[in-house]
Amino acid sequence: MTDTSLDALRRALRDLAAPAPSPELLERILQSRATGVRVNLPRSERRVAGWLWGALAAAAALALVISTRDSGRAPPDTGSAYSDIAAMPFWPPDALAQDARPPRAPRYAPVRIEARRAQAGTWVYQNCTVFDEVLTPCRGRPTTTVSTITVTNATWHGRPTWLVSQRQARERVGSPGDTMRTPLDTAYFERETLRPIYAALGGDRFRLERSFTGDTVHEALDIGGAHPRSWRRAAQIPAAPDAPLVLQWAGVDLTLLLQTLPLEGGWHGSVYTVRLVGADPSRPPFIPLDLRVVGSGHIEVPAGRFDCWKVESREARSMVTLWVSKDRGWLVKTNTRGTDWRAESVLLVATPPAP
Amino acid sequence: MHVSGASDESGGLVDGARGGRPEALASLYRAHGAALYRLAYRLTGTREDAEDVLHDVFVGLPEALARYEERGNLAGWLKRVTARVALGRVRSRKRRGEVPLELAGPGSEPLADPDGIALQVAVNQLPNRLRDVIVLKEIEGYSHREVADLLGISVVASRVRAHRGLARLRQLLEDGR
Repeated sequence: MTDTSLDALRRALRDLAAPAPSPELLERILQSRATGVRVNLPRSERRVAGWLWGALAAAAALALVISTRDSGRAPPDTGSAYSDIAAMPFWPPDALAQDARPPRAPRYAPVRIEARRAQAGTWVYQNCTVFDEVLTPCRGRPTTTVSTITVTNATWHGRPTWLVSQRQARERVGSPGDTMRTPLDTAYFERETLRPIYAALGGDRFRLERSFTGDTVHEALDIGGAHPRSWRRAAQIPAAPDAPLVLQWAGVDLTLLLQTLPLEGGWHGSVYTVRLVGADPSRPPFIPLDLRVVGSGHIEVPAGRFDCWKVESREARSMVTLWVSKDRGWLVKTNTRGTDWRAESVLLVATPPAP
Repeated sequence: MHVSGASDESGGLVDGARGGRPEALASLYRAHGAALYRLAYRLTGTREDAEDVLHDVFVGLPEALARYEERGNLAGWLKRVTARVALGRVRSRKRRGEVPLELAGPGSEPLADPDGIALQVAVNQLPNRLRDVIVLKEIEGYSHREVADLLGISVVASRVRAHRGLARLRQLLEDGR
């Protein structure tokens, strides 16, 4: 601009052009409504007296204490690390504040993968959750959580596959023996499509198995101990037969998928995640994960410095920011933000080593 | 006051959208979608975010209209809702120094005018707290009282931020010559 006087600037601002929405946006809106998607729009902000916040906080704390008291449901002999899982009413929809609702439609077209780009390796991440920017288990706090994800070449009944395993370990700082490990989460994936074939989690007292045949997932969930329970369910997979699927248990593991995505500026695509089919009626078993590249930059983590794509990942009501290395598609860092908390995961070490 | 303008027609649309009728929602979109998209685009800085904001606004509209008491202008009410959704999105994402991809490359047809591109880039370089006020006050034409209500700040703060935002814009444009 040649004239930057205040009046000229104001005129230019008023005349500033803006693009029009894409023609298909209305269709997407109507499709979302038709599939049952609902959004709570913000109301006008109203001031709430400080004492009321205090009363609400006290009530919430009281409700939390009451809801987490030992109700005698826990089997008496559950000495394993998963006694808390075995004792849960599986799952308590009221505590998780989830509503049963039909699945929403994916925002974008299905992702197209370049399967040849996937590589074997081991990735170790440190996870940390921060509440109110104060409480954090990984910065001077007593526990730290490390996730290890391994991808190896394998075969499944003679077919070449990827074997992906994942395990978390939470260790009390200064007490190396005081460690809680989650069960080994293992899954076989088709090499060409990254479609899961079989996935298993748990051991004797708690075991979840999922097998995928054609357009159907079969789920078997068994919880042992003094109050054994079992679920057997099957569900039709909404995605195309050759579309990749992302398995979800404690979290979404994108290690393999991200290596194969042709990320670039403006890229976007959707993929279905598979949750529990029979044991959690409060949420649909398949939820679209909408991914899109929103930026780029250099990220420094313990494993090294990486030139990354910044990818926004939306699943149901949560949004996660992913930093994915441009050269190999490694997941370098994730960031999830809630109202008063944020969770961060950074790559500690990778094998093969970072370039 | 009923809905402004063609009040009977708009009132019918509001009732229809409130009842979740797709054709009423589509009519409201055709009437107001472009203006709301422009507002969302200016507040978020990218088309993708603006489309997501507009998507969420119209998907949530039937339920939100239950709270609309038809005492004011429907377009104004829709703009305030859109601004709140867009501001919430910007706050939750807090840029960390990256240049939005949209501004880094070509493809912004409506901004083909070089002065317009320079100005848009300068607006996007403003810190969020200044940029929000500039967009709402100088581009969208809200009063300082309305800006203060939308952003949850005082009228004085809105004035100060507008003044500082314009000064920063001038500096950015002069530095970019």
